[in-house]
Amino acid sequence: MKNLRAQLRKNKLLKFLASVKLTVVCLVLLFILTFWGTIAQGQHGLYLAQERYFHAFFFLIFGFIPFPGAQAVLWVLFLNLVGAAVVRLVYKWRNAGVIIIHFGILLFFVSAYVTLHAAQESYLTLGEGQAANVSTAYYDWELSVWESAPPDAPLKILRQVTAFDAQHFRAQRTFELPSLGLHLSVLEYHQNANAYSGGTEPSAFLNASGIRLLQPADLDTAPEKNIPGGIFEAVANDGSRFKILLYGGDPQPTSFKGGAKTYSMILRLKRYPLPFTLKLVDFMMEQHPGTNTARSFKSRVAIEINKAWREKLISMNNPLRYRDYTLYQSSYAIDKAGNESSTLAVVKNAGRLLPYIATCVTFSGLVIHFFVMAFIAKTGTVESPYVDNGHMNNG
Amino acid sequence: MYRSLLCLVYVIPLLIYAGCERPTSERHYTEIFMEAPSKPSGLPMDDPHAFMRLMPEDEIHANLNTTDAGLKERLEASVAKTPLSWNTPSGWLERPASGMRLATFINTDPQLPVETTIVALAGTSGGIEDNVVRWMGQIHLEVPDSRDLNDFIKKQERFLTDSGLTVILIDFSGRQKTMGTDVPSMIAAVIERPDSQIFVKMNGSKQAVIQNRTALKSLIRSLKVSTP
Repeated sequence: MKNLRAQLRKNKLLKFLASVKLTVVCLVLLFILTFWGTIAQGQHGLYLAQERYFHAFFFLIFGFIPFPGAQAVLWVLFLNLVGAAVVRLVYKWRNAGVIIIHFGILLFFVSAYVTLHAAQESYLTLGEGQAANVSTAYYDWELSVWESAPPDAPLKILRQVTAFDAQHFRAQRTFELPSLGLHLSVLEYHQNANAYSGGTEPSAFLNASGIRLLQPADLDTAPEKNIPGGIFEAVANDGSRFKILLYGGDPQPTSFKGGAKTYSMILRLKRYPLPFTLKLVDFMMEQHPGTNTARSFKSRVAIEINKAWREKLISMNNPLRYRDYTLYQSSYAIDKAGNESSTLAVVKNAGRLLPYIATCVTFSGLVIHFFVMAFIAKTGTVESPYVDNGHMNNG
Repeated sequence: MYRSLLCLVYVIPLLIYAGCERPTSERHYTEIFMEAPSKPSGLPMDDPHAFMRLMPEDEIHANLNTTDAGLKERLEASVAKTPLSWNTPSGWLERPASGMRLATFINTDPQLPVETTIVALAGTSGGIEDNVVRWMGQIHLEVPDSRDLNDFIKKQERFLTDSGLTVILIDFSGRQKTMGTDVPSMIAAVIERPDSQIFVKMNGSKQAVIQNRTALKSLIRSLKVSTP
């Protein structure tokens, strides 16, 4: 093992990755990015600032100078910590605290990665008596296609949906849907657009709501205000072609018939399938006396898992947890007819426990290191827990 | 220097790969939606305006669905055949005329939906006060005493359309200042003509109607009665 580590220390890439200089450069870059990103939130909004400074691998300053984004810097810092663990950390009992702290920090990186890529935030709005098994994204859009079929029950809609994330749509992009017997291509796509109806001459495009024209608009700093629109071409197996105009603000799916099948297409906020069906049984609200301001509101829901229903009360600090999903009471609405609906925030996070575990590991490492140092200070001399650069240079 | 450059040879391709555009992901899922048994079926679950179609409209509108043929005939006769034209505001979609409605408009913001209708009725249709009281009831507002009511109506904005029609714009959101942004609200415009009245009503949450006030005013300003 010692020989292997000695050999690895000779590797120039590992030596570079494990260097303290790289750690310092990364920390300085993170400082700059955090400062910059925080300032930019005021001008560009939270979402765009997050995307540009923290989620991106790199971005361009003044449109042409590349600068690393926080994700690239954190990846390098992660490799730096791994490199240090492989070639620089001295694995002795007296360094147990530092070793635990080191791996605790690595666990923070793992939890950040899992949260970034696995956590989904969405919402589910249900009226009393309604049930659904999909939640809706706040900002992301999808192109959904399904084969229209008569409902199998009078009050039940059941669709086998094929969906494409619209985030990277651009003109000329094509999609094959062999299961549906369709070929789709994007003729035009705008992340924010205005839609216009009206006119008497026949439209060149299919649209359920009579939209005839899309006009690109500037991206708004508030992502919820960006409503995308696009023109798509669908070619069915029998060769029939349809040019379809879809707009995110249009709630009606556009239907067309290709061969013996009738298809429906819609551009809508992305849907996330849930591993259960949720029904809003009752929504309850208490108001401050003499006002219309809500004092508290809660939802009695029924959750169907494996064809068995069970009821649960969701209130402000009492969410429903099921596997990786947590459903919080978010808001409500009462329409003119007095019909109540409840909105639940749906958060899916496979790694929700990881930050807590990482904190415990790091804290226990600090405690152990404190006691070990206190003991060593009385009995012997303190040594660095790392192999220094001089040793690394000598192999 | 040479070693650092060598390291960049490893790192740069990794960064370029990471920054490359990913192919559009395709997902398959089964979507289930069950409507409440007591409500009409067939409402599209994605339609943020769908709930509005479940609401009772003005009493006079709702009665149009009566099975009493005589009453239905009389009600239909009350609809003024006003030859109106208008310009649909940017960001709104126009739905075809139905029932007593000369037009229905919906906005395209799924977060803050509003629905606007244009109805023209023959005669005075009960006068402004009666309509205001009825509309207050529809959005669960406490109806004030007659002095306060007249004071409220007097304070409402009045303006002329581009074609010279006099409009009174009754903004009920002004009486909901202490309420939440999600409460049902309304802005209604009344245009009184010698032989008929034109009503333009925008319904939605308080926040939604406030946000769409300018678009509503542009619709009203564009209203034009064509002379035969």
